[in-house]
Amino acid sequence: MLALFFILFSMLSVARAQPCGAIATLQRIEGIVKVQPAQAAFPLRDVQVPHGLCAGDKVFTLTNGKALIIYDAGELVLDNSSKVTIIQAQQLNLDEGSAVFEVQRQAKGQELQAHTPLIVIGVKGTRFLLTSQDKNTQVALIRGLIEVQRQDKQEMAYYQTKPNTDVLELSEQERLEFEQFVKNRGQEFAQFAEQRRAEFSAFVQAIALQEGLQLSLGERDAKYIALEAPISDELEQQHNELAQWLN
Amino acid sequence: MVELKQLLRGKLVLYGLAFLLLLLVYAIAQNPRPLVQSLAGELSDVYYSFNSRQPPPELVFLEIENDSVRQFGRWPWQRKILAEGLQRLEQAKVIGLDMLFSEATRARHDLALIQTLAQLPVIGGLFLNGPMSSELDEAAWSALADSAILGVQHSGLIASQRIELPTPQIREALPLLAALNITADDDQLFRHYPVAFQVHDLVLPNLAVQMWRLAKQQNVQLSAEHATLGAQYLPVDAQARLRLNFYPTDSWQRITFAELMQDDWQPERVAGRIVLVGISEAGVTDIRATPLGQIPGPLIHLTMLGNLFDGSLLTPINGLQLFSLMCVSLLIGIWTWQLRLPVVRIAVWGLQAVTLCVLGLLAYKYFNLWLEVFYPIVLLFLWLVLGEAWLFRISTAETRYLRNAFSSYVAPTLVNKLVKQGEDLHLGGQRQQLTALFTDLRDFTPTTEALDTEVLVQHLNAYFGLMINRLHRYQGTLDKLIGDAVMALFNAPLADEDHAYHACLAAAAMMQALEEFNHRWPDDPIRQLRMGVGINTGEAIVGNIGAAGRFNYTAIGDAVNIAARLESATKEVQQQWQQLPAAQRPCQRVDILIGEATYKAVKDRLPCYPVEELVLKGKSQPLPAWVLDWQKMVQDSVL
Repeated sequence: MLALFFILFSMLSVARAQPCGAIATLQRIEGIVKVQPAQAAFPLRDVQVPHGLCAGDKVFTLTNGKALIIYDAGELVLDNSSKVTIIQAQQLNLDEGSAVFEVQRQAKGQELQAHTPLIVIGVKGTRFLLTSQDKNTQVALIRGLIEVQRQDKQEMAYYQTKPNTDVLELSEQERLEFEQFVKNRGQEFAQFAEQRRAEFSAFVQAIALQEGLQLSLGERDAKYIALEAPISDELEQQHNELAQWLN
Repeated sequence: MVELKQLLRGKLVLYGLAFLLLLLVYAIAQNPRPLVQSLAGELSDVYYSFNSRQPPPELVFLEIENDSVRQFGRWPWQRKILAEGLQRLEQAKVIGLDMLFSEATRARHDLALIQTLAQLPVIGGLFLNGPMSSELDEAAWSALADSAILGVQHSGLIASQRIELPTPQIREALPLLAALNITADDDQLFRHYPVAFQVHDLVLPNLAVQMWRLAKQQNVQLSAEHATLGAQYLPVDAQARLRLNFYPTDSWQRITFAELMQDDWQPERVAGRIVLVGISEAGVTDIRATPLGQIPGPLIHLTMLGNLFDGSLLTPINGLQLFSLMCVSLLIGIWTWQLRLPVVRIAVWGLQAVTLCVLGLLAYKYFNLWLEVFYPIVLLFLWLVLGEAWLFRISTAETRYLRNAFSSYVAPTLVNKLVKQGEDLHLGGQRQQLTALFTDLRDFTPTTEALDTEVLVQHLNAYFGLMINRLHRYQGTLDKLIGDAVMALFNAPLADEDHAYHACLAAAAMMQALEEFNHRWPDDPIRQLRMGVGINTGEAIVGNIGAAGRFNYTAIGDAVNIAARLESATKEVQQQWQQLPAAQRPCQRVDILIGEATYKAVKDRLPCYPVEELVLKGKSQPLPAWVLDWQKMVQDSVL
């Protein structure tokens, strides 16, 4: 599982101070949403919003859940079946699931950085959707500009979608491989299909993701791959649903 | 040599097959079929009988047993009775209820229980059967989520689509819920304890785990790769189950519900303790079959809790550790296959099996390691069968090889001896003492001229058959037939300490046999044969001499040459002997001449008479020789 976590370099203020020193606020919930305080064995019962979140707190959304977390730098809408850990004032972990981040423009030198075990995203006031599931991570940039690079500064195989996406000729072997992917690894289907339509660009340390594009990050054949493509309908729809919760 | 190489290759094939068996058994051990798993469990369950550990003193089993049932009536009781009893546990640190209140009863009784539960650190039970989980409302899911282990991604967890919860009012009163399910192995014995179950998108812990969480305020970290409870590593299997490390069934601290309800009950008895309330009364059917026999179901939860408390969770010896153990066994097995005697080999296999059992027991008793000794023992048995079958095959091939190599030269008894002592067969030459015997037919030319070739061959074959038979009778080895001559060796290839004597006996027996042979044609002198024999003892080089792939077992050296010369001299000495007056002749005929070393070896046992020193061809010095009086030997019944 790729844990996706964010380091906020700016000091965040919270809406409602808590005894533990709340650094974010659970502002709105829908469905079943649980908050498990740091070091606690069990989640809190009957959480009422707004609820101050302290360092180490975890926010879980179940299948039908959704949550809005606000902080000074912006807002985060957590989709269902997701988990966020409030590590500290500058760092949130998206351990699992999906979330839309709305980050306000930061002062120079105080930009937000998004980290995963493999990548770092530099954020300069923007909105993006992150999904982290199993071994796949996707970043869809709705607005603004972000830069993505690996944590270890190693190069990624950077693929970009071909201008003419209508042409897709597969050899027999590729067709079988394609079908096998669809059959066994449905979650990677879209990524694979996009990769078939994409062409290798270069091995790069950092990728500047443009607005309207998504970057699918995964590993195939022991190589780390970053696949750039227009935001898919699926991610677009997911963003639209979550974005309704943004203030 | 080619056959020998094949034999050596045969052993390598044996080792290869043994390793394949190892891989096969290892693969089965990694994913055993139910029947195999049951057999394995039956064997390793014996470990438990050697366990004398006591459960942690913090744990108490509050049991509803026969006395309590007699006092308060048949289970289930009115809930106000239970409420009253639970109130008396108020000093307990954690109370686990191994029971489910899924149906409402009288309102005031339920209310009494609800009010009690709300004030206690109590964990209520739920069962993963009954209604479909999809029928639960959001409040029920939310309550379950409060008790669940959140954020777990583990596809191997035992999943259930069904769930039966306490009534909503009781559920709301209970601080926490936990599953009460325990799954039996395929042989219906309870050995494993699931840490948690998957219900829809929630992971619900089992009762013992939930009691630990509440008592220690530590959470479970569970994934397909590893599991921890607080700082404690949980050696779970693919289904997130732990192997139970049972305590003696009579070692638990038990308090009966009847005791609890007595007027003189002292609440301090459970102060700060972990109490599990459950039913052990046989009529309620919460009795489970375990390797220790039938025990109340609540004790299985308590056993797991005890294992968590005293850190006696069993870690299976599996994966690389088991593979390494099997490889070490294979190395010992390869050594075992080098042993000659089957009975010794079988004893070593047995010893290895016993050692494995003892190791497994020690690993369990002192290191909380669990070795399913079944798999390595099955492997040992398979290796034993394979090895013995293979070694029998190799032995048969060796026997055939030796028989093929020597049967035409050596007496059958010697062949058997060679087969049994295969290592005594040295290919290549070596210098050693031996006795060489040569025979040749005298005046044979008229016979060859008189008889048809076919008849002559038959005649010679009959003669050689007799001669070789007598050679074999006295442990002689036929070296070769040279025309109508016979060359034989004694003390080679197998040792014969009295080889000179045996050579003399063989020569006399051959002469006797020839006489009997000639009696077959009393009126046909052309078919009657005459033979001279030379015997000499000394050092010679003996062995398989020749080119690779075609060896010829023979002897070379002066001692052998002299034997041949002695045989050649018999005719001349016979003629000289006949010229002597009869009174001066110790014996009538000179058919067998023996050399000096032979004479010294047999002079005290056989009739030998000196002849004039012989000037033999190729020898500068005359050599002494003796006549062996074979006719006297026959008369004296020496043969």
